[in-house]
Amino acid sequence: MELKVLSADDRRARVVLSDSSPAYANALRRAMIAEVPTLAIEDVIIYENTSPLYDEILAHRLGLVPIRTDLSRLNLREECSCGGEGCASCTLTLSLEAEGERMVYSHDLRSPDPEMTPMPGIPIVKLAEGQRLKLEAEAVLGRGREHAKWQAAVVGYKYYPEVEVLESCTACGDCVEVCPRGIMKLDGSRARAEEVERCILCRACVQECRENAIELRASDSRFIFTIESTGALPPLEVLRQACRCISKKAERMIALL
Amino acid sequence: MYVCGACGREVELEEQHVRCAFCGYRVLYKPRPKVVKRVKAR
Repeated sequence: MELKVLSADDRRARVVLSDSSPAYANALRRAMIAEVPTLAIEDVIIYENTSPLYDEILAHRLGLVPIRTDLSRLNLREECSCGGEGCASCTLTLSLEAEGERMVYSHDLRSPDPEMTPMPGIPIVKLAEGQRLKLEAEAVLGRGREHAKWQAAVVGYKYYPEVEVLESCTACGDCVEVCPRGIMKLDGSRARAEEVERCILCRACVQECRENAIELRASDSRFIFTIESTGALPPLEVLRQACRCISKKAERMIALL
Repeated sequence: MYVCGACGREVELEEQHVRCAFCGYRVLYKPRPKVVKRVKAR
């Protein structure tokens, strides 16, 4: 198995997984979506709410706000030494106080930890003049399989495209013309595909070719993953945690044998 | 405690009828009590 990072920043990453199988690729995808722990608001304690939104709607909106997570400093509640009661090592308590007239944003939630803050710029509720909002929110670690608010990333993969141009190519340029991604190039007497990672396997070039000189295949041993993080964890960290989770599950399996 | 729909003053409910003691308006609103409420963010 081999991994190659095509691009990565703090929100998105593209990674090629080679020498693998569809089953493994899908296991990895599912682990990234459903098994990576992240922080999300679970309980909201409302002291004052004269905003136009009901407490429940407000709490639901707050729950969906991604929170930057440092996994080394927090435990999952069910695995915490406090026994699931809630303590400083499994709960992050954020507070919010606002008075209208103004828009309340996710970054108005004050975090006691500068390393673990909500993603900024998400509108929560618009307050009119005199309307007040005062609340505390308890964020805990959870997994995407329990609720989508804990989903760390949106992950998809596609089969690696393999474009082969045969001897019979006459360099007519039709495939260059028709390719929606513009990856077909003329190279002397033959067409050639550049940056095949960008190919979407639409088969337009195959259909257009009069000489039937293009063969397009989707590899079932190489995959291009697109990982888009919610902002809770960097996308490559999501991948790392997913791998850790799969290996932990395998360990448990061995113990059962 | 209620709030009058016309003059906006705080009124106590009288025993005989629903009526603002200050202006006689008969629409009263029940304001939200100052109780701390805990809700699940789901």
